[in-house]
Amino acid sequence: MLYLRLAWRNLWRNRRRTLITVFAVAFAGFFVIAMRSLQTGAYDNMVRNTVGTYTGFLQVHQDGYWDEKIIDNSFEESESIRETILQQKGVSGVSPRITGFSLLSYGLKTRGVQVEGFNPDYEAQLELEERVVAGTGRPEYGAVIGSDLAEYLKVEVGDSLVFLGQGYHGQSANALLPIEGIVSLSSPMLNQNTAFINLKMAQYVFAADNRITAYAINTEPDADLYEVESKIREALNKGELEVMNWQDMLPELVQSIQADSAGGILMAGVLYIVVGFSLLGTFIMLAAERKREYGMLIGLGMRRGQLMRLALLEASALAVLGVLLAVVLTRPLTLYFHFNPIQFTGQAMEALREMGMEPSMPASIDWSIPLTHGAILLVLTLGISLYSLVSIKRIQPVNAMRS
Amino acid sequence: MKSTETVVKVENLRKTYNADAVAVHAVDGISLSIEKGEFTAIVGPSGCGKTTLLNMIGGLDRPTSGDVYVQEVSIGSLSEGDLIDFRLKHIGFVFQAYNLLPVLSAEENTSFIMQLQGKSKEERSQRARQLLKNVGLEGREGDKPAQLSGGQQQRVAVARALASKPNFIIADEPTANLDSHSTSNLLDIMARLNEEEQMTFVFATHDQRVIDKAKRVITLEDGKVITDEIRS
Ligand SMILES: Nc1ncnc2c1ncn2[C@@H]1O[C@H](COP(=O)(O)OP(=O)(O)OP(=O)(O)O)[C@@H](O)[C@H]1O
Ligand SMILES: [Mg+2]
Repeated sequence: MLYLRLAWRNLWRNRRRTLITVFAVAFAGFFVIAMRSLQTGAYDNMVRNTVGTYTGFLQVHQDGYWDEKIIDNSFEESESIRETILQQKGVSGVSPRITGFSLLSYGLKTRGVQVEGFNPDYEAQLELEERVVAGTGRPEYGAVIGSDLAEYLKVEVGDSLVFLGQGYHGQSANALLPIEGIVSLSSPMLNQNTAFINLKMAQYVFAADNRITAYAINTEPDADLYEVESKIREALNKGELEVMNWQDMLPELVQSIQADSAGGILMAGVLYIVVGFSLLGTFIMLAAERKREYGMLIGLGMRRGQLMRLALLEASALAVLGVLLAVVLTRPLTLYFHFNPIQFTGQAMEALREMGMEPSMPASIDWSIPLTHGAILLVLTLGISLYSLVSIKRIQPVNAMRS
Repeated sequence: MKSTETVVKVENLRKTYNADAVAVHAVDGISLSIEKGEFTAIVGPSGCGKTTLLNMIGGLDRPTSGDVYVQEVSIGSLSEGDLIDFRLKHIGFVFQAYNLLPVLSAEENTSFIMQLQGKSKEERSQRARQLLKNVGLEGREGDKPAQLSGGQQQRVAVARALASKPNFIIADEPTANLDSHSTSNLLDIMARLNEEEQMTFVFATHDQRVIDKAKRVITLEDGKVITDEIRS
């Protein structure tokens, strides 16, 4: 109690300096937490758009499929495999898919697209029904396409598309499929280049009866991805099937996130160094001002360890105030931008779309961000307050009181 | 005749500073003892070694040679940490200035030492109030040092020094920053405490009014005792 009271009152002896220091810590915390929340939110969004609503967090393929994505590398669909995967702890959905490539024409317009055959009853990732712009999200005999692709081809529901491609074992895969629905997908790549058709229809078109190229697997939000991955691998225990997680499947996505994240971390580091010097200045001034008083206290019979505890408490209070202020200021901001994502318009929007990214940036509200950076600031402050501790260690009461 | 009890014994004490390669013998072979209940002034010209001697007696500074015994305990044999604890338990201090913690009230400053000694809250507050009353500061318990005059601050320092129930109190020029009224007031209080509670005081001073009140006057010159006079 004595220490707390003394530390608290000491903190406000030089109100202005304390406030400036608290604000310096708070500003750094605010800036870093806000920046990292936006970055992390954007990454989560990117992952969610490509992984959560398309590839799935894990996939099972014929061994070698991911290196050479052709229908020939497909495998026999089997309800028992699907059941086995579904039974693993942490698995929330298993979607059989067959993915092929095809030229798609309407009138004079042609584009190379990815043809995604899926089973609407089993599908756990593609949330086509929630993104319907026109028609249906559950294709039966025809195709559902992204709104950008529809715009490019200038087609509407009911128009028929010509597919020209190659099927299983070199057979030609040609079909005339009516558009059953148009969906607006958040991933620009999918929205521009993908046609979704019923799994049965796709197997028929690609002459790959009963075959699929992948099981796309969704996991529970709190499941440990790597654990689920190894469990599935163990359960399947068949040499010809491979289990991959999204990070292995999409190394470019992982790399671009890491590269961008590294920039943010660097910026945070620079900011922390700047704040560190401001803190050091405060602690140097403090030590000089209190020298006589600390000397007097040691003279009276206060141990250096007790004084150090006092100084540490004061430094912690400074850091905690700054960190709390930073959190209190960033929380409403991140919450706001979480529910009202920053929408890019104009050139920025175009640039992001071209990079295959959604021009919308929701902020992350994960508490681990403020907690991590709050802890870093606290450790930084306490680390720099070592200066005060060393100066207390060196105080000789006689010299300190003479000065 | 009253039986005496030695509270401090100083044996052949020396302190040598080597400033600019010239050795300064600030205290040059002093031996003396101080008995319980004394009211002793250490006097002499500036630079004669008063502060140096008091600091060594109070265990704030270590002698170059010789030793100080407080209640048979050799201060020279104590480790740094034990010496701090020893000061806390056995020696009271009134410094020339900046005695008090500016963020604590008069009462909190007075009870501070007792808190370090681990005394209970009731005991602390009761004793602090009693002591502040003894030094004439009843009603000012909640005031911060900045709200008190220099003389009042020194009286709080005296109350604090008494609070730890020390064997003796040393005071290095406690009145140096005070006007004559505050000086005589502080002296009266110290003299009364000396009379009533048999508290031993040793102080260094230049002030003739302080010297006049002392029961024993030790005069130093160049680090040596030149006269040691006990008055009746
Ligand atoms: N830390 C030190 N380093 C070098 N010399 C010192 C130191 N402290 C004291 N001295 C010297 O020791 C001598 C005695 O000093 P001291 O402070 O004890 O005198 P004093 O009698 O208290 O003087 P004053 O009446 O001015 O307070 C002086 O010559 C002083 O210059
Ligand atoms: Mg002196």
